[in-house]
Amino acid sequence: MRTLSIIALISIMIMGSIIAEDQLVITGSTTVLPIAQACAEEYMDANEDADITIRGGGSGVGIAALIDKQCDIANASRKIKTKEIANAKTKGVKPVNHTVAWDAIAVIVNPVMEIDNLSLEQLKDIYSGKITNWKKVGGPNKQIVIISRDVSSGTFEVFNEIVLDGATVCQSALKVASNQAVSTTVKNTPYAIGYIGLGYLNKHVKAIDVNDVEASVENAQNETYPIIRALHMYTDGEPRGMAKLFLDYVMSSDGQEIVADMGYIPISKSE
Amino acid sequence: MKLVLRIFFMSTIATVIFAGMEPGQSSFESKAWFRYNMEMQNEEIQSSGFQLARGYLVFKHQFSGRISSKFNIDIYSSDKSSDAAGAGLKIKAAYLQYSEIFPEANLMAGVIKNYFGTVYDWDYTTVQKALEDAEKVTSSADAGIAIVGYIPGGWGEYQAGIYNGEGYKNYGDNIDDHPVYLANVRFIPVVGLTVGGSIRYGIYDDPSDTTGDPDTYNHSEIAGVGRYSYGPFNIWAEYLMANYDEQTAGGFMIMPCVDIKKKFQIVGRYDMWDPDFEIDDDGHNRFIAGVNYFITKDVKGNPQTQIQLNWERIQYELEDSEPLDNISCQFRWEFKSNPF
Repeated sequence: MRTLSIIALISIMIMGSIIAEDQLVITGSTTVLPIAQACAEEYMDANEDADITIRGGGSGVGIAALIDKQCDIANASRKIKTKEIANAKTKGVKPVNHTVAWDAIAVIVNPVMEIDNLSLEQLKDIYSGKITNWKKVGGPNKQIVIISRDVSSGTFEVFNEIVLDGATVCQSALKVASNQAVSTTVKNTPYAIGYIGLGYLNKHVKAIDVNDVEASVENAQNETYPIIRALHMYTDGEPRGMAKLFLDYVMSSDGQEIVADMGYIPISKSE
Repeated sequence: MKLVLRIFFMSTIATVIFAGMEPGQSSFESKAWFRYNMEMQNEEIQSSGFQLARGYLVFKHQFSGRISSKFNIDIYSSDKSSDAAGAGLKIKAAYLQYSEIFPEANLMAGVIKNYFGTVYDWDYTTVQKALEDAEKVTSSADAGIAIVGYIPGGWGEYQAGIYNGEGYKNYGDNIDDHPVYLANVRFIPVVGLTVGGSIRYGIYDDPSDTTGDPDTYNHSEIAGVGRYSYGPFNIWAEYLMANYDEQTAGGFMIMPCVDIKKKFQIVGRYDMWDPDFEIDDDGHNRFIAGVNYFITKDVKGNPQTQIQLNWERIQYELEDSEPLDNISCQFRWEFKSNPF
């Protein structure tokens, strides 16, 4: 009898861990975090019983938490890696991707510069210190002032992956803490070059084309602009319950309006 | 506002710790296991006491985007007279890694994991080691060079390497002239199901031959591994066989466990081992029952502090032999520094 009671108690506890809890836990990318947070606030305002917890930590943290079943949705500003997929599948987790927005990085220079376009290769050479004078890329005979972001920045992640592609930012680069700081520094420094999220473009700086493609929402959505990345929310299998309801909200017109308000590129209407 | 600040603050800390290292950066980690052990046989206590079973000090450095290193020493309680002041020292890892030597594969050189069976990703769900480690078939690490790769699409993993073969505790005069060759593969045909196998082959000198040119013998070890994971349930199984000239040893392990409320884990394990198929009644069976309690976890879900309670019984095949019981209570903790 005692044995049966113990087995019953353990079974109840196990079932309690299987049955989906009311709370939704979202963990991961700090780039996606503003989207998740803003959507969660609006969603909870409209649904009083909803309880959503959001944590940052980075894409790797989010994906690891999903694999270890510590969260319901993993925010990620990069695609899941092969190693992570294998690890997930081993542990009975099937990561399913939901692209919720695009993040485009505009390359900016001070308005006095007469440079209109740079190739990805030229950008890489500038930021790695191979090219140090604007005259090498068709500009004036002036030293290039390089503005960059620190490694914890999601914006830097995009730039590093797509532009630098294994190269290291040169030691002379000035590192600042935010998109706004990059914009302000480039505005105030005549021969500076920097990069910011597309949503942070303003009249005080000049965005240049990259590979002869203009940095625009349309070119980001049709993937012709080269410095873009998708922003993801991963679930374990197809989403269900509150995770599905929340993701449906993020992908709705209201949710995509929030994406645009946060300075990101909404998923195109055709998707 | 407080919620926003808390999310931002926690996110910032976690991002710094888990963001990965920039070229030129280093990080430090530490893991410790403090264990109480009581061994009983024939209703008499054979041994009882506390010890620092493991004390890892790990230093990592990122040289460039693709080249990194890891150095791990283990300082632990030791009763060997050759170990000073009750502390033993082992080099558990000391390697250079070149990432993406070809797509989805890394090259590792130094004291690296032995990619065999279950020993290389054994996470000590039980206090007891992996089967091949517990039965001294292979050690968990060895000096060598290996390619470590993943099958595209997350369909599995593979490793191939060449090692000294005598394990990470032996060098110089304690190793022979012959390396061992190792290959391991695991497939994940469906989510939750992993199947794989390892093979290890080498030549060793006849230890009884003290001439300058000793006779040599072949040795080989094979392991078959399976794992099934569904929800909170997880079960591991391993079949192991080792051939040393005319001696064949073999056995298997099966280990089910279940997670409860993300805080507890109940684990069972059964091993069978026969050190020599030609000799009767020289084998043993091992039974383990245990509970793990995760006091704290990091934001990735990895245990930071935990308590393990294990009961282990070794039942010997030899007639009239008494089983050996081992009761362990172990505290485990680990932490990582920010990159610096």
